[in-house]
This record gives sequence, structure tokens and C-alpha cells, in this order.
Amino acid sequence: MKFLRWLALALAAGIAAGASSALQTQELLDFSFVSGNIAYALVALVGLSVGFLVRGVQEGLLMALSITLVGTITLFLAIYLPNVEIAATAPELILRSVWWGALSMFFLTIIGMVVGRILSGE
Amino acid sequence: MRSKERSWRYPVGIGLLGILLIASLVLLTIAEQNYKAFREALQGIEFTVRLTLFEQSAPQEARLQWAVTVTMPAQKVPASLELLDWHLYSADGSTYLGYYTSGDVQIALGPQTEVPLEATMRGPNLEKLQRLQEESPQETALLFQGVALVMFQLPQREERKKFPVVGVFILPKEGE
Repeated sequence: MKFLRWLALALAAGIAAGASSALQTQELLDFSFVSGNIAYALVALVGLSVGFLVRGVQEGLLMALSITLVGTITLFLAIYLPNVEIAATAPELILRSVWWGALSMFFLTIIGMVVGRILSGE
Repeated sequence: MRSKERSWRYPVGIGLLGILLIASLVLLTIAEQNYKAFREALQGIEFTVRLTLFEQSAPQEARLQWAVTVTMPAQKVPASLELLDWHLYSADGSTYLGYYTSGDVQIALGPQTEVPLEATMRGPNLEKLQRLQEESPQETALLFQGVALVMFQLPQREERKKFPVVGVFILPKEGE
């Protein structure tokens, strides 16, 4: 039961972080109604909300890694599916966005979690 | 004390995460739809040119009028035509008949928009055209080769794209 709760949390937070991160990619930034900074803030807010729900440093780190993994898959799908032809001819363009998105997602989630833990008084 | 402190964290954490999940998915869906509509517009935009008027307005002057029809496949991305400039050649490309431009215009593009264009031909270009008409026993075919500058209004910025506009048209014989 604990594992299922943990999995549901990782999936929900990962999808939210990945979708938010996709909004700041070069491919979608011009077409989004929010700026790149707001997209990054959304990722950090996902970390903050998860920070209220996890306990301990180890659980927090594991959760951050899981969110990054699920988020990276979400981000990849969000920019790969509308760009199948571009991905076939120039995959490096999409991979660059995915790599940067995954890196920023991991660190912003951690920062958000730390803020969440501080706000909750721990 | 500790359990009281924790009691607010779970509903706040779950509530915030739920809102963020819905908001991010909605924003992503809208961005993807805008992106798809823009790409469809880029791939599907079509320009057709037809000559609407050719007249010798003065002994050393001829007036040509065209109608360029712009067909846009998707209307989710607002677009407008900003400039259209073109070169005129004989149909085989061997004789150059000059460069013309619409100047700066701002015409909002709908699903099908007709843009009127006009050019006045004088001097050497007119002489070359008259020579072409004399040399061709039946009709004179000319090549319209232009570039249209279209501005797309994206949510975060304006994107300007150039599109080729090509058309062949027949000059009516005098008296027709």
C-alpha cells in the first residue's frame, strides 16, 4: 500500500514536472501562454508540493529521482510526438531539450522540496 | 504537536500537486495545439496568381493588375501579409521584365484572402515586353516570381516567414 502511494505520487508529480518543463523547451516556448520562467517556477512548485508529502532526506532524494525519470519520459513524449519528422533527421535538437529539461527538473524539484521541508518546519 | 504540524501538510501537498498536474497538462495541450496549427499553416499555405488587367494606359506605359489568392489551412494562428515583391520574366526565363513590390502592407489573412497587386511598366521593360509580344505569333506567356512575407502572431512573439509565389499568366493579344 505504501509502495502504491509512493508510485502514484511519483507518477503524478513526474507528469506535472515533465509537462511544465516541456513548456520551456525551444520547440514549445513560443506557442505556450506562459513564459519560460513561469514554466521553471511550476517545476519548482511541484517539488514544493512533494516536499510537504515526503519524510527524510533519503525518501526525498529517491522521490526527486523518480520524478525526474517520469518527467523526462513525459517531456520526451511531449516534444517528440509533434516532431517525429524532425527527430528522424536531427535527433540532437530534441535530445538537447530533453537533457536540459531533465537536469533542470532534478535540481528544481530538489530546491522545491527543500523549501517545502523548511516551510513545514523540519 | 508534531502530528498537528503535519496535519495541514498532506491536504496542502496533495491539493497543490493536483492543481499543478491539471494546470501543466492544460497548458501543454494548448501549446501543442498552437504548435500543430502553426506547422499546418506553414505546410498548407498556398498562393495563386492570376492576371486581372493588362492595358496600355499611355503610349509609353502599360498597367498590369494581378490578384494573389492566399489560402490558409488553419485559422488558429492569426496571420497577416506584410509584403509581397516579385520579378517578371518571359515564361522561358530568358527576358527579365523588372522588379515590383506591394510596399509595406498589413493585410489580415483569412481562410481565403485575395490581395490585389498592381505594376506600371515603362521604359526598357516595356520595350522588352512589346518585343516579346511582336516575336510571339500567338500569346505571350509571362512568369511571375515573387516572395511573400507573412507574419504569424504566436502567443509569445511574432514569427515572420517568407513564402515563394510563382505563377505563369498569358497576356491577352491587343484588341482581345
